[in-house]
Amino acid sequence: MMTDLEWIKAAAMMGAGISVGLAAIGAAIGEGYTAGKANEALSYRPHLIGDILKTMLVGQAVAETAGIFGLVISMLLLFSPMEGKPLLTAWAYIGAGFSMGLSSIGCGVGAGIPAATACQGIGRQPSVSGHLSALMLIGSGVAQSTAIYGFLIALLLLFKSLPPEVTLIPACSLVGAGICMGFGGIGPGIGEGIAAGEAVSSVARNPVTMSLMTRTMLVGQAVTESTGIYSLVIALLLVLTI
Amino acid sequence: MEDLGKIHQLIVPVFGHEMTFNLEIILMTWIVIIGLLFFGYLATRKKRIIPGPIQVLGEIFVDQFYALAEDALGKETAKRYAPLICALFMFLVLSNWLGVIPHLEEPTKDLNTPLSLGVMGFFIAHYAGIKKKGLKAYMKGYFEPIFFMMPLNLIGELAKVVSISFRLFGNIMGGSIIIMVVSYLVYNLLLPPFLNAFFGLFVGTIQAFVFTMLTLVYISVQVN
Amino acid sequence: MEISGPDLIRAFEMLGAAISMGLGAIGPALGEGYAAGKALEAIGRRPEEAGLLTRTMLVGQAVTESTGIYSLVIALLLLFVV
Repeated sequence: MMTDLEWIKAAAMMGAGISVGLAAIGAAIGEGYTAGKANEALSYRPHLIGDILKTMLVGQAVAETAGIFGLVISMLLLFSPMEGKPLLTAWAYIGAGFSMGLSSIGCGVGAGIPAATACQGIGRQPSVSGHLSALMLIGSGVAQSTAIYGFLIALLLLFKSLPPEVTLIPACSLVGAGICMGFGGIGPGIGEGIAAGEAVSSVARNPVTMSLMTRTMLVGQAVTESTGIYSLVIALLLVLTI
Repeated sequence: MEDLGKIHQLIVPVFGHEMTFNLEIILMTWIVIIGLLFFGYLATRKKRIIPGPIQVLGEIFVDQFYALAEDALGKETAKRYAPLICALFMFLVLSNWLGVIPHLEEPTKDLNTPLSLGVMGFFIAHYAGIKKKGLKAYMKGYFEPIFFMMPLNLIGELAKVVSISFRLFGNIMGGSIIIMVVSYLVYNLLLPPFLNAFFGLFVGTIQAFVFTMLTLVYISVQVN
Repeated sequence: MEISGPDLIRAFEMLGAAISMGLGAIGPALGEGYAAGKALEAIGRRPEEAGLLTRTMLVGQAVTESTGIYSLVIALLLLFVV
């Protein structure tokens, strides 16, 4: 027979694995895509190695953030004190893992797309590399926002004080909040990344449209994010009504 | 962390039903309204050919949104709706910025404010459509492309209200909860001011602009 | 842990709301992102038509979002009404 503490520990291990494992998928895909496109651009313009390498590294660092969020949550899950916590914590830990891990997939991929097009764009228009990397940073930063929401839900699940008795309804709510925010974060991350990528490549084609493009990109991304926001609302309702 | 999701309410029984007033939200809305009226007074107090700084700010607002409305609606219709668009943006942007000041809250954090603004935009858009096209042509729009698409078209119209208001509400509420949770975790050291600047000023401005643009777009879809 | 029928139903309503909104959010967001991307590409080609393209993008995105709204409505119904 297992004690409560052992169940909670087992759930924490499981949640930590889910969190960092799933988060690694997105970050790795995004970074690999960036590196591939950077190499492609370098094969046309080998003398731009400095600029393209710098942009590639910055873009990959932004895409990595999603993976780092997953790592932080799994560290918190592994090393937070578990003695004397109610058994519902086990369900909350698994939910936290799902929330962070799944939502990071989208944001890793989404942050990789503008970084890749920025490398290509520098190959096309080396003179505006500063503008391109600024626009890329704004675009991929906004594409990270659903990962931040996933991080928020994971933190709420980790630190919320839970009732001592175990019933099925709060348990399902806790896991459900994680699944809701996790899956809800995938689409907006990739969608915002596509929008930011097209914005960067358009500026590379026609650099005078920089400010117009930034404005339109932010409007388009704000609308793209709305389904992620709905997921956040549902997840918050699930967590806070326990 | 415990005060998450708590609000002060005044519940008044009326003929067997209950009317609920969210007191803080009403107070904050009035602060925004008074702030805007004060700004309007300052901007128009000394009108000159060479404007003062506040008059310049007011002129920028009016110019930009008049241009946007004329672009979307055409010259004649814009005269009627541009003041609404401009006022809507100024109200929303000041509402979203209000949370940056300590002890004040965004009125848009409560679903009632965005939802009522969304319903307002919905009715104005449809009124504009009926007025411009006539009732018959307006009703005909629902039966396109074929007549049994009518229920889907109706749901689509109602979905616009839900989407426009939930987008604003979710962004502002999500931002303020993120700030609260992070402040709790780091004991209010260092990080929250930057988060406040990001969520209050940056996201708030973008969302206010998106809400205004969408209202304008809904009107222009009905009119054209 | 004794599980009664109504408890089980309520618990699955919670899970159902979560899955409905979570999975329902993927498609509309990808579609809206694609619409925004193509609109940005078009603005890059013809910056003077920016107003028209932005408005068309917003209309297209509003329609694309309908399925996301349906998921939201179903999730809210599961949480509060049924």
